[in-house]
Amino acid sequence: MFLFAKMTDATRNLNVTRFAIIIAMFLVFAISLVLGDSLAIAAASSEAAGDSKSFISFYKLLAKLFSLNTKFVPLLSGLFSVILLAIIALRYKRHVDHVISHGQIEPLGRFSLEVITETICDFMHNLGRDLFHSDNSPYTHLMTALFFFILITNLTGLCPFLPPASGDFSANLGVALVVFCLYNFWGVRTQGFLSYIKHFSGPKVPIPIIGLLLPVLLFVIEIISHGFRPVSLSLRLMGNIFGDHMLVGVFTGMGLWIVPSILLFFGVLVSLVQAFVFSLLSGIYVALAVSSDH
Amino acid sequence: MSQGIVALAAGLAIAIGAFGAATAQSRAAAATFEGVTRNPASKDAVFTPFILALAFMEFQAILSFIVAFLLIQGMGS
Repeated sequence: MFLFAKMTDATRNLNVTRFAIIIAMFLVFAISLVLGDSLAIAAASSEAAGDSKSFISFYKLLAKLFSLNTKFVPLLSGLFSVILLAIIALRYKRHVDHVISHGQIEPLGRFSLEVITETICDFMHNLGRDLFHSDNSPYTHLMTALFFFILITNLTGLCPFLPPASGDFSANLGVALVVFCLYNFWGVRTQGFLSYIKHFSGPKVPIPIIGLLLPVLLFVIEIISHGFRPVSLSLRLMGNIFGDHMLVGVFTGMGLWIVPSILLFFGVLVSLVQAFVFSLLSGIYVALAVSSDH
Repeated sequence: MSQGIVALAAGLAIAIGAFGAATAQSRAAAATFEGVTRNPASKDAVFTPFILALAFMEFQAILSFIVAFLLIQGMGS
């Protein structure tokens, strides 16, 4: 019975429609970023990744086949992991439906897809409960969706010839901007517009002149730090994944069998930790914006 | 001449960045292990802040990696 309750919780975490909404937002942002080409560093990094001759990429071949611009390559990669994610979500949903309707739990393989998905859902559920002090908060959906999307994107990057979308700055900025918009929106919704703006200027200081000057200073600093949040989130993920990818590429040139396989294990660790860090930091940002304990 | 200096700058950037990040991470890991071995019940409470702290420290090394990479990329043109 306890296991059953946990499973239904996990199903709520893996709400497919919420996944779809969040990922559609990500795609819209990524398309606008890729088309707009607004940041010079994005162009520089994607060119650097695309022009090096040592990487063969299926997405690039696909883009050439449909005569698309090479800027769409990370987008194709993201689409591929969205398709994988949808397949996993539907399979898990079918499993949970089967358990709910038949009421019996068959023993599953230790590393089967359902067990891994459920472990991750359970983990994120506990994390969300610690962060938001609620057993079924809507913010946990965002964290779980981010974790799954980034994990699967990173893991596809470990397969040969499939460069991950998370190794590209603009694609990551798309994901991080979704987080940015959502936590600001949720902060305004729970606290009201004026008090949300007011919480940028820190606590009240009861000293005559400093009490007037300090909030202005703090407001400017806070606005800058909030604006830098999506950039730092996406830079961290991009640097880790791109660096790991390059490392595997360099070591594959040295020897085909033993050395790259050790680095691939390291790559799995990096993918897990980075997905965890990204989703945890987004959860902390949401919790900071939503909490009104001042 | 200038290409050599740029290559040296890239190498120094990643070297100093990695040195700082590795020192900081080793201190954090040592403190965490010491705390967990003293009090094994604190393992769950320590895990998340530990990973977060490691990620923040690693970000500096990642920034220096990106700077070094951009320097090397700019060297060819």
